[in-house]
Amino acid sequence: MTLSINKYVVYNLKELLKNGYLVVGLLGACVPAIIMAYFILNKSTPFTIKHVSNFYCMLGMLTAVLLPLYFINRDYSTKTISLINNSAQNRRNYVFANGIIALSVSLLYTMTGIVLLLVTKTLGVSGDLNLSFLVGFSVNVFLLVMTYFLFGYLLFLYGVRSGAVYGILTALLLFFPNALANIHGMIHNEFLSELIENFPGYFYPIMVGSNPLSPLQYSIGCLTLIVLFVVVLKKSEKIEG
Amino acid sequence: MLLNSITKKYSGSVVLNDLSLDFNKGEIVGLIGRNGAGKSTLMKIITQTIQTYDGSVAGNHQVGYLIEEPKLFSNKTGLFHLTYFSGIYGNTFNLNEYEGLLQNLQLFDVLNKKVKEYSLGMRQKLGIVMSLLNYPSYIVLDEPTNGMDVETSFEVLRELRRMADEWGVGILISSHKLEDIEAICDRVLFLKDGVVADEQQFIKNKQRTLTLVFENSVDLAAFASNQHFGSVIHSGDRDIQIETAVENAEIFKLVNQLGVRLIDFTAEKKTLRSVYMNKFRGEYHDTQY
Repeated sequence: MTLSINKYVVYNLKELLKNGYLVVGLLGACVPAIIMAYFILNKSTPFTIKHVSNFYCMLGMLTAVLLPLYFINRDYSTKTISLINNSAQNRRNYVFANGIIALSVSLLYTMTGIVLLLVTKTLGVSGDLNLSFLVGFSVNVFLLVMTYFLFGYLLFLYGVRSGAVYGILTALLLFFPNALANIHGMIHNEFLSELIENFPGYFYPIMVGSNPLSPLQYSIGCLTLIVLFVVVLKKSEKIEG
Repeated sequence: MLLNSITKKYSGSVVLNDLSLDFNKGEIVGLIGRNGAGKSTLMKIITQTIQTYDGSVAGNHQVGYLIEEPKLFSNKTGLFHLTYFSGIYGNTFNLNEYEGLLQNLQLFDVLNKKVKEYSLGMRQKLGIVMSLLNYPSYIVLDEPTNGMDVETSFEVLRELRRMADEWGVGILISSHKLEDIEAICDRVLFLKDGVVADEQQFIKNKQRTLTLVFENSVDLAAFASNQHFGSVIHSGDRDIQIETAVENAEIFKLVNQLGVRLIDFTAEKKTLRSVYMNKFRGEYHDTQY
């Protein structure tokens, strides 16, 4: 009995649609961005299109990470994972299938974000919206969602309870980067400053909706993603039950 | 299915120790032993939900299972579980195919109810049906009648026997309800200290211990030298104990033929409980005359 990656992905993406979580998540991303666009268009503000994309990513990245984790949480908390973890192949297929769900969610958020930015730009929001920014935005969203999804997945594999996982992810995406940004602004040590700038826990949440990352940051990001994926895969192969 | 030299250790303590066993399609094998004897670990190794162990599991690995408690989504219906757990394995759940089983287990009419409204017995029954999804060659069931009343328990056991006989499914079943095991199993394995300490056959082997008391030693000697019913396990001055599966009528026929005078006769049926008590507690409790 081999777990069908296609069927698993299709069943569960439909489930995300049917239970309304996907719609709520996208609303959570879009509503702050639309409010920001409204103020830019109707009030005298110094804000630009990058502020719209930043507001889109503010809650949007959190919901985009939590959506694919819904299935991991569901299967581990109800222990139905033991109905899937019945061969090495099925354990791997489960990781790949959930990775594809996370990838699909990140693509959906990317496309929605781009459409939103194009519409608000057309409506008259100021600021440059060039191709390199849109490509950077797309890659950033993909890397951030996959990295934090795999980190959350790993926490579940190590038996961390769902409330704690969601709390940690919320802190990491919403509060921790601001704390690091404050520290970064205060320190004058070049090495420490570069260390913070090239730390994925800092540059992903801070830069995701603002700018393309530097080549070094992309390299560190890709390496982090690969390491997390391998660790999740290996841990999944060994976990009992 | 053949398990060869399985050893499993947890933090240095040996749970299964060089254990080997086999079971076949269409056969129901019972697994009994005290808590901590390694039953669940053994079942998890067979179902590959435990991957790290020494030894090998050979044979067809199409195994359905229900271990410990049914693993269900409380907010989903029974039908969702059957459809989903068929679907993600690339199969389409055909309700007609399972209708008889679901009817017999009285689940058919509640399939559209959410699982959180099910009783423990109903959840167990749904778990058993789920173990039969995707056409397994074997199923492994841990305490399948847990939480069921006597009548429901009987229905489930009857259906399991039918699955083995008609569908050809090999079933490994563990239970602390020895009567359940005895009622349907072809073979019973006694697990103790991580090894199969003993194996008994029950359905095919109706062994009993007969005690015959004769009027004198001459009559006893005549009977003893002419009986070929089974093995003598004790012989006294006037009494003899024989382990046999032969019907009482055959015994009495020989007694009449020999013209010996039998003054007392008892037949003690070998029950799983009596064997279990003998193996694990060192005493016989459940003697049936």
